[in-house]
Amino acid sequence: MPLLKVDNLKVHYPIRGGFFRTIKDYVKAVDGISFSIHEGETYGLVGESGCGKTTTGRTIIGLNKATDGKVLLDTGSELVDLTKLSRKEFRKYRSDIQMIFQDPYSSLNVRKRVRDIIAEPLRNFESLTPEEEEQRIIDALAKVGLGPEAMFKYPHQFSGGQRQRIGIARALVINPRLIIADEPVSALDVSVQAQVLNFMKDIQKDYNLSYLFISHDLGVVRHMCDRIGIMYNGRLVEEGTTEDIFENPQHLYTKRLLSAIPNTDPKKRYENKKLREEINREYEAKTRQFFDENGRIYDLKPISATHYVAMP
Amino acid sequence: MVKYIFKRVLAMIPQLFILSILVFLLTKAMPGDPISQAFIGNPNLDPAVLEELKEKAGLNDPWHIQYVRWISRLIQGDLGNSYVHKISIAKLLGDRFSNTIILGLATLVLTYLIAIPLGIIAGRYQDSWADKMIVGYNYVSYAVPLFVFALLMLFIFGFRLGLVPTSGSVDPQVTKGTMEYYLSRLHHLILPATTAALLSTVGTIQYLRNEIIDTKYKDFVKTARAKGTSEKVVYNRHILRNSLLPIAAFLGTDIVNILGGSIFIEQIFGYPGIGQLFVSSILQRDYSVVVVLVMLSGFLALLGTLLSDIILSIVDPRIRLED
Amino acid sequence: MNSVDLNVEQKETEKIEAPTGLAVIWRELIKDKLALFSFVLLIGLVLFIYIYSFFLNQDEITKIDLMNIFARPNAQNWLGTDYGGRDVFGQLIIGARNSLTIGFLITLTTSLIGITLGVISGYFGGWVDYVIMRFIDFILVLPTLMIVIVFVSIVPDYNVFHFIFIMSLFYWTSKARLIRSKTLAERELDYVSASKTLGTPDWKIILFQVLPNLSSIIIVNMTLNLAGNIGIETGLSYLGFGLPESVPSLGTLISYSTNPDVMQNKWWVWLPAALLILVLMLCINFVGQALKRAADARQRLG
Repeated sequence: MPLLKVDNLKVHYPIRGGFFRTIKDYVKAVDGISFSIHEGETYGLVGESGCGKTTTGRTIIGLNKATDGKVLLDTGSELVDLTKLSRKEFRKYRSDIQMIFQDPYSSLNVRKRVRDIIAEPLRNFESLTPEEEEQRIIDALAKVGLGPEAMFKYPHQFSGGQRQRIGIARALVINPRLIIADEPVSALDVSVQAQVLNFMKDIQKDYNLSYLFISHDLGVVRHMCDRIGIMYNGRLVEEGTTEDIFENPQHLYTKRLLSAIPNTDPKKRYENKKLREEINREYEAKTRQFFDENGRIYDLKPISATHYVAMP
Repeated sequence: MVKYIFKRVLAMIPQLFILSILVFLLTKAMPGDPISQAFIGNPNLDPAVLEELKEKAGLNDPWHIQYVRWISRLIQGDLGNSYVHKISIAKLLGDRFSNTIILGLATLVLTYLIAIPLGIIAGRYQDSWADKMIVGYNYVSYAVPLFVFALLMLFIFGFRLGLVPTSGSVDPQVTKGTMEYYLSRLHHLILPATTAALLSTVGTIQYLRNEIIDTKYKDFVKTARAKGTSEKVVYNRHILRNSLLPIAAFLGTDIVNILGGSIFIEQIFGYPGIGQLFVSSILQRDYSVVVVLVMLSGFLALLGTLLSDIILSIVDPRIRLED
Repeated sequence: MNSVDLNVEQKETEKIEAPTGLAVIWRELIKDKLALFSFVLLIGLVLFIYIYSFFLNQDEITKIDLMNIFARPNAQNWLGTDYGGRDVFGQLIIGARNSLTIGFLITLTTSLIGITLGVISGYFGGWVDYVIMRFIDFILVLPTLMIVIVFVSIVPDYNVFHFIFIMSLFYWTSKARLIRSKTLAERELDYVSASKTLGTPDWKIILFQVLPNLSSIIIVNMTLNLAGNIGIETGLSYLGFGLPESVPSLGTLISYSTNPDVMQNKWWVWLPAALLILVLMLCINFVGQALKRAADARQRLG
């Protein structure tokens, strides 16, 4: 039984217009995607910007409203459909799912001390004595490699990487089972990225966490994820284990995306260029095979036990 | 465009409708009625006769009936009668309305005559002493309340220096239509218009200064300079052309503000316009006049904002009108 | 953690202070000479007015003394007397106190309404926002001054609280608009989303996360508003539609100038009040503008 099962999730935004502001059309940000995340697993959601991957993450945690479909959370005793809950009812499950945000600058309130930032979920869900609270904060900071003196400082006194670790500490402090990480390192310097990613991996091992890892960076995704879903235009085009995706890509779009990974070996420059051109030709020639007459992506079909591709 | 204007005008109707009900109810709630008010100095009047007069004028009907009667006449262009002045409101308004419009136009013209050159100088010679003086003037004119400023102007130029008349819109001695008559009107107009204009320049000066400073550092201006275009041409052809047009969009808001200020200006300078009429009508409980004046101001304010939006959409193609 | 991080942290531990807020605004204010002068003068004037009025006997001052009509300024009546032989200086102090107090109260009530509705409109959006904004649009095109005057003239047993209430009804709209637009921008920031995912209820997010970040804008706006409200109150009192007669305002003193003789020859009755309003307005505005620049600079520094 997976920890989280997303079933045919749709998020449509109405476009209003005219004198009476009636609904003219919809923007289909997420248009029917399904996947599941198991305990201790990292599931990567990959795609270009605007493909709906962030919307998916935000809808799972209740920041956006789902138009249709289900998000089923296994609480151990029952399956709960998170999309049907009001903000108040959702509160009960907040401690199971947490989120790490992309921008470490805007995701921490500049007016709060680190202590108050990390204590926010504790004060919402647990009634602790000040001493207990302080101990929990010190523990959470230690998990992300920050000393207890950090408690009394303000966010602007930290670097981007440190801020992101404070954000992780805040998500960890109420012991969630699933963390949605929305481009957690894309705002950081490359040198700091690896550091934060390795922290995330260590913590995952220690606490048997699951991640929904949202990213556009295939290199990072390959390093972090067990299974990957490739998103395009609000739909999944391919899903499989990291090996399936990187060694045996099937969908045109996946191939194109992979060919765009820069190769650092200058000797292979010509080869790479030829490969990219070839994929581009294939893309133009075979578009009809992978998209229906309306340009919509087909539903996923299994080609092996783990590997699914959107084909007619 | 025509469709847009049509829709905006259509959208004004419910607003005017709500305003008319609000104002009508308010004036109905005013203590005293015009008929009792008119006979207040007449102790011999039998209360029964008074009651009969009221009944005849329809003042004892339920409010909604009175409202419907009033609004349907208003739509047909019948503004009703003033109980105090015993003449039709249209007649009462006649001269005063044109007086207010003349004062408003003079204020508007003076505002732009002062604001545009100052705004350009401040923007072009940014941080010079001239700029600092203009910015200082702007701070002061933003801070000073209109009525205090108007009183001081009247005190200094009207009473102390005796340069201009202290009240009225024209010398009653001169005959209408003569050259003297027009000069006298102008003479009466100068001080109130200048006073109001000096305080209504804030928005335009500030906008123009910021806009010119912004445009100065844009790439197309740098390119023009780099090509060796003279400073004069850079300003006249490149910067001003971009910065001056949007000022027209403030026209509507300026009109609304000047109309609002006219209550003070006309009261202080004894200028017989609709602002002064409003105050005296309130004091005399002449509420049929009060209602018409509030409705008229509301209508003009709506027209002003509409005008602003239309000009803005013509001047700035980036602002697309919703169709 | 590597050693470089540690070093940076230790160096920065000394300055434990929020990067925003009153401290920065205060620092900016004392850098601006004119604003600082205005601030000192304003505080001095306000203290003098309130303390001095405490020792004044209002009944004594408003008692008519027909033997002493329109006395020129002298040792006994520093600013002379008015048509009823009443001391102008005493009336000036009491009028200033009343105008300041009522201007302040109106600023408080309009801020309360404006901030509440603005923040609700901006934070929740949707139909709540739509309704509030259409309501504001309607009030904004009303000929406000005229309607306020109509209101004032119809209230039976008219008193100060009626005046504050009527003013509060109409003068909160631009503040609500300002706060709404700032809240809209703030709402899009991730710290608000984070608080939501951490299970913090909306009212707590608004009160303890969003509002503190708007505090400098609110302070600037309230300062400039105070000046504006005193201006409107004294103006209405000048026309005779402001404070009731039992509560003299600076505008009441100035309204004596409607008599041309007073205007021309008895300047001591109205001119001091006009000049006092002028000085108060300029001081409050200079302080407000300096605060505004400080708040903007903070945003630029980020």
